[in-house]
Amino acid sequence: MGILILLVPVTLVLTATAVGAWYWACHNRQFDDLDSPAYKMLLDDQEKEDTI
Amino acid sequence: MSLPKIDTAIATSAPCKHCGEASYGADFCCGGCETAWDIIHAGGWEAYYKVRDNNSAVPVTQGDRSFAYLNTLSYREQHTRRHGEQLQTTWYLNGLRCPACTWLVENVTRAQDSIGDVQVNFSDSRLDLTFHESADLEHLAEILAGLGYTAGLQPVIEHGSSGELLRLGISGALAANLMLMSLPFYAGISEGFGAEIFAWVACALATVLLLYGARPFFTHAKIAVQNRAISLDLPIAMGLSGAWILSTTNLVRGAYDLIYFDSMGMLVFFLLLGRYIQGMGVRKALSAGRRLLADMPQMVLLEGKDEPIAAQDIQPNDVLLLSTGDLVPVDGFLLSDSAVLNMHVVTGESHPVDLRTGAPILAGAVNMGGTLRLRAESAFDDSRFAQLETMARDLRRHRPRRYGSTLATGFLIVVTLLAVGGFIAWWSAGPLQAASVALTLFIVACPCALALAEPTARAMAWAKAAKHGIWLKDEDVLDKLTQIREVIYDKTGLLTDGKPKIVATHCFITQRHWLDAAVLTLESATDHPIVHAFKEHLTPRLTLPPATEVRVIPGAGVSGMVDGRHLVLAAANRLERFGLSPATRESLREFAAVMNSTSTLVCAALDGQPAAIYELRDEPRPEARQLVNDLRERGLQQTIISGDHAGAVLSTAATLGVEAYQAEMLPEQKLAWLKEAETQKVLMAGDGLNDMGALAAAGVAVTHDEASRAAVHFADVVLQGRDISRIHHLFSLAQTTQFATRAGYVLSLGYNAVAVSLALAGTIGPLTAAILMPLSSLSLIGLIAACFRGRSPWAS
Repeated sequence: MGILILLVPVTLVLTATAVGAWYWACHNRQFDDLDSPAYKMLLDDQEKEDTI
Repeated sequence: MSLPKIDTAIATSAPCKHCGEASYGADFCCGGCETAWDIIHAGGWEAYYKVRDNNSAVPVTQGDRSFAYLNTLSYREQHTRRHGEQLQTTWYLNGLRCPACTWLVENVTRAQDSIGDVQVNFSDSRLDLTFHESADLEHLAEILAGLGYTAGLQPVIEHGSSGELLRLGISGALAANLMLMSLPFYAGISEGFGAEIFAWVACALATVLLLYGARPFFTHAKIAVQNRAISLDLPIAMGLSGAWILSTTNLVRGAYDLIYFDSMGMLVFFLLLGRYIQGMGVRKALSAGRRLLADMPQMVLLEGKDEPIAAQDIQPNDVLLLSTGDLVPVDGFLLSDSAVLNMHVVTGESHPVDLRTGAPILAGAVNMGGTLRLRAESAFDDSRFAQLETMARDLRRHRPRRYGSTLATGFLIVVTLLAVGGFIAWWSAGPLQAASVALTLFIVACPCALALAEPTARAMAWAKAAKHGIWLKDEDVLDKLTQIREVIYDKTGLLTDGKPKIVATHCFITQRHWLDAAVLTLESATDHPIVHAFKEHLTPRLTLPPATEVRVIPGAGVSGMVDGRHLVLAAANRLERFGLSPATRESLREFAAVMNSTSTLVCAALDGQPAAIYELRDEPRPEARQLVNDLRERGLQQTIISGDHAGAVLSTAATLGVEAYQAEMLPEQKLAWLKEAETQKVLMAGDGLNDMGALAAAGVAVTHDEASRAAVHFADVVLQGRDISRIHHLFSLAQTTQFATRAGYVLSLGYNAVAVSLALAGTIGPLTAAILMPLSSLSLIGLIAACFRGRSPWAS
């Protein structure tokens, strides 16, 4: 049962990583628009000449 | 005189290539669609047509929004932010009908010069643009407008919902881990191998959860206490704190099987989840609102300056130069010798007003005469019109509380009393046991189910409506709809498209072509809907200089000087307003009577003599008949009121099967007529052009997003697009919402009765309570969702 001394902190680290990823996703507006990406997949993007 | 038959071949020919509406033998239904087609093909974006939803296509309306503001310094300062070397800005687009439009908009935008990147968010109708300093944003906005997507601005607002979602996710992670940490205690191993580590870790996680995840409940509870109001967050906050205190106490005591951190965690998570789901409906409605009300600031010429400035930047004492048709942006005083203004939006009067030097002018008036000079008295935001808008918005926000919250208040009091009673009753078994019972009661007497029933039903109704292009402006609309017994329709612009077509011309003078050109020139100086009819039908062979001394009488017609001659264009039943001689009026009227037409008749008089009569027809929309039938089945009384002449209104009423109608009504008459009915039981549907007063007075006002801006502002329901069959759906939705709310109350009260009895009897502990509580919330949400699915008016 001593393995628990290792496993409990590992769990917490994993949780922290998951929370960090969630934080990134929310702030990066990943969940804002759930409709358009499905359509954008079907169409080709245009090649753009660099005018800047 | 028989009516000309519509050529069926033309009527059933191929529809408009761009939008799919009828085009009567041509390739496109209107110039707007043709332009859009050209732009799309020129850029190589034809794939758009293959991927978009075919039932979401809409004709491209030619708006008159000016985008000149986008290239001004003021715009750069207020609406853009730095992003490294480039600038960033946000627009709201009207006209995105399906996600394929986002692809089109993004590619069209990227193809322009000096644009860095663009992201279009379909659900919010938001365009986020990154661009180089030298980008021509006005040009971009004009291209998008040509495709049917009008851009508008909002005062800068920050996106609020990402915080809620973040909190929900983190709370979920913490709650799940709390359950994990509680595993040994569930498995019955509370001693030995170091189970206390788990307990202490659970305590730590629970503390974080309480301080971060549960914060909204504490904040709202505190506000409620400060304002001496009852809020359901109070028992929730108390229950959560109680759970934490009790569990920590037991932990310290070593009673590891009496700790409830995981229950607390589940409580927080499910409460947050319930609120988030509720919030989804609200967010959707809000974003629809932002999109609809987004607008471009007006550009105004100042005396002495070459470049126009934005209306927002007007300072007191600036002298403004306004042309014919311009909206007065701020309150001020007239400097010109005289002016003619239409105060319709401000005062509701439809007669234009003559003013002399020094007279005060209110913002919102429209200049009907020639160029006028005005000294601004106030800045833009201080004008009376802006204040009216703010007032209307505030009125909506501070509605009196609904009866649902009175129910909740009573419930709270009862629960508190029971909890205290239970505590006392169980005191003999020990203080901790008593506290446990009281805590169980608080948790299980879930006020959330009660509090959630009405908001959840409304939020779902809202979201469902938004999905079908119906924007409900505030929460009470659904309740008001259940009171409606009578429906009143405006004819032109609502039942019809407001785009009459000229079906015949009768000219009495020989200079036919000159007359056509003159009529077109005069009409071009106004923004009558019938301008388009003239533009399409008359192809003049000569161009004349612009009309002068133009005088528009809303609902009646227009007069002015064209090429030195006095021309009057007026509705056949309003000739007396234009100072024509009785003989002229008589002969025009006689001719009109002989025609016995069900079309709208517009008479032209040149230099006081009868010149021509034009017949215009505005056919009702195809879905209108179905709507009338549906509403008749609901037992609603229906009436058409219109300013149009009796023949046309009768014809429309007969086509649609509406028995009651009122014709030839002036805007003031429409309002007076409406007030005679019990306004709270009346739903008025109109486009605001000459029925603003009536719309504002009705119990529920419905308009569409192509109506006048004032109508969109003051209406209770705004439809996206002109399909009015959705008015029937409004009623179905209101009924379903009422049913769902009541079902929700029954469920939550029943559940509470059972659960509270069990808690008082000591049969269940806080642990079981904490499981039951989210179950009740979830089942409530499920029940309400089922109500909306099962009775969907759009099912077939």
